[in-house]
Amino acid sequence: MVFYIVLLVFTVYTLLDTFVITRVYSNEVSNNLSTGISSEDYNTDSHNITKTANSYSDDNIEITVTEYEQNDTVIYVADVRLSSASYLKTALANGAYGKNVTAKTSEISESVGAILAINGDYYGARESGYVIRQGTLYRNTPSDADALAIYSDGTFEIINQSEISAEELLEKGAVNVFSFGPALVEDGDIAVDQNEEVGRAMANNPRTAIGIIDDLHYVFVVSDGRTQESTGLSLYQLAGFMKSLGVKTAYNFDGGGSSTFVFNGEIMNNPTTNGKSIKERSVSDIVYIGY
Amino acid sequence: MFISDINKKFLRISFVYFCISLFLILFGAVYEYFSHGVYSYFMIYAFCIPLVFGAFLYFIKALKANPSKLPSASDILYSASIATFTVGSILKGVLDIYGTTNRNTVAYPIIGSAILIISAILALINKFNKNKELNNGGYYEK
Repeated sequence: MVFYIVLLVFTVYTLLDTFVITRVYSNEVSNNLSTGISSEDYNTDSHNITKTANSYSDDNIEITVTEYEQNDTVIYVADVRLSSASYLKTALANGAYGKNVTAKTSEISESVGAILAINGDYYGARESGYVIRQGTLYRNTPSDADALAIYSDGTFEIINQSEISAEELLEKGAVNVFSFGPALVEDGDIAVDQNEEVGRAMANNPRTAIGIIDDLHYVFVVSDGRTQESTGLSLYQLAGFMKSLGVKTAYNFDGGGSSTFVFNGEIMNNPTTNGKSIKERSVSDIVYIGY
Repeated sequence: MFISDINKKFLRISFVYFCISLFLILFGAVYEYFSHGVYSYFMIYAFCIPLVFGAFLYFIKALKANPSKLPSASDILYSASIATFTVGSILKGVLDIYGTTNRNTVAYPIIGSAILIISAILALINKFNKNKELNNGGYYEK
């Protein structure tokens, strides 16, 4: 009898440890790795900002948001052109790296003054996989997942984590490294099989992805899903869509209820976990465009 | 066919494991239904553990003409190992479906295996003692 009580207590503790108990391992070092400009210092008047419901432009950043409909799914695409890779950034929930440290994409986005933001790889849901954000190495335990390295010059590279260490990636100039995946497009070709999925997902889902078209020219993509209006995309469909946008490299981020697209402070997609209520899920991190 | 109290006891244990298996089939199906197409073999096949190693095994034991003994310490430990493997499988399934991990899940197969090994050793000792008793002209109770 005692054994069964111990088994129950241990199982409940494991569930709480996985989903509830917050552990902060370190605080975010800096959000301004390359520019040295903080969003507070940034003077909006001096950058010739032009904003509409679907676009943003200033001296350094041009963003155009377009809605597509494919495979019975609404897809939100932000076409982004930058004058410097330093405007492509990442941020951690509550400015801290840890387990169960989460906040909504829109909240993190607001806290860093993002112009455009999407959810990241939700590193906190896993115990392995490289985590490098804004030039700081937070986790160097490799996982089986494809990793995406974004270098200081803004280029993308798909990494096999068994072939290179996180420290070596930092030395090579990686500013941000994500461990979710898989890679959707590599060298302009679709890199996933028709039946490939994240873990063991066999259905279409909301998705989040990022791709690079050319130097300092990116696309941020979020698809709806799990609703009557949008069924969602399979990874293969997403990869095909990314390829149709002309990307050379594209990478899949955390999807499902995490998929969120925030532009000019507004949530543009319909984030949902259960398909019934439209509600943002809290996540570990975001990828954003901003100062 | 004569069914002894001991046979009945093993049949009851077998039936309890069978019910647990049915519950796990239902639980897994409901959980998978609400998991938006994300599935885990650990969740789907968790019911096999109590079904094969519990219900089936005790049913065979109950069918034996002369069950050698009442459920012993070895059986109690054996049940504990089945419980550990089953709970571990369900928990791994829950985490898989959510897309997360926890290193604590490693403990379940390790502890389950350790208990199973101790249970097997105890069963062997019991068997050895029983044979020794028989060889010495003793008897054991049916």
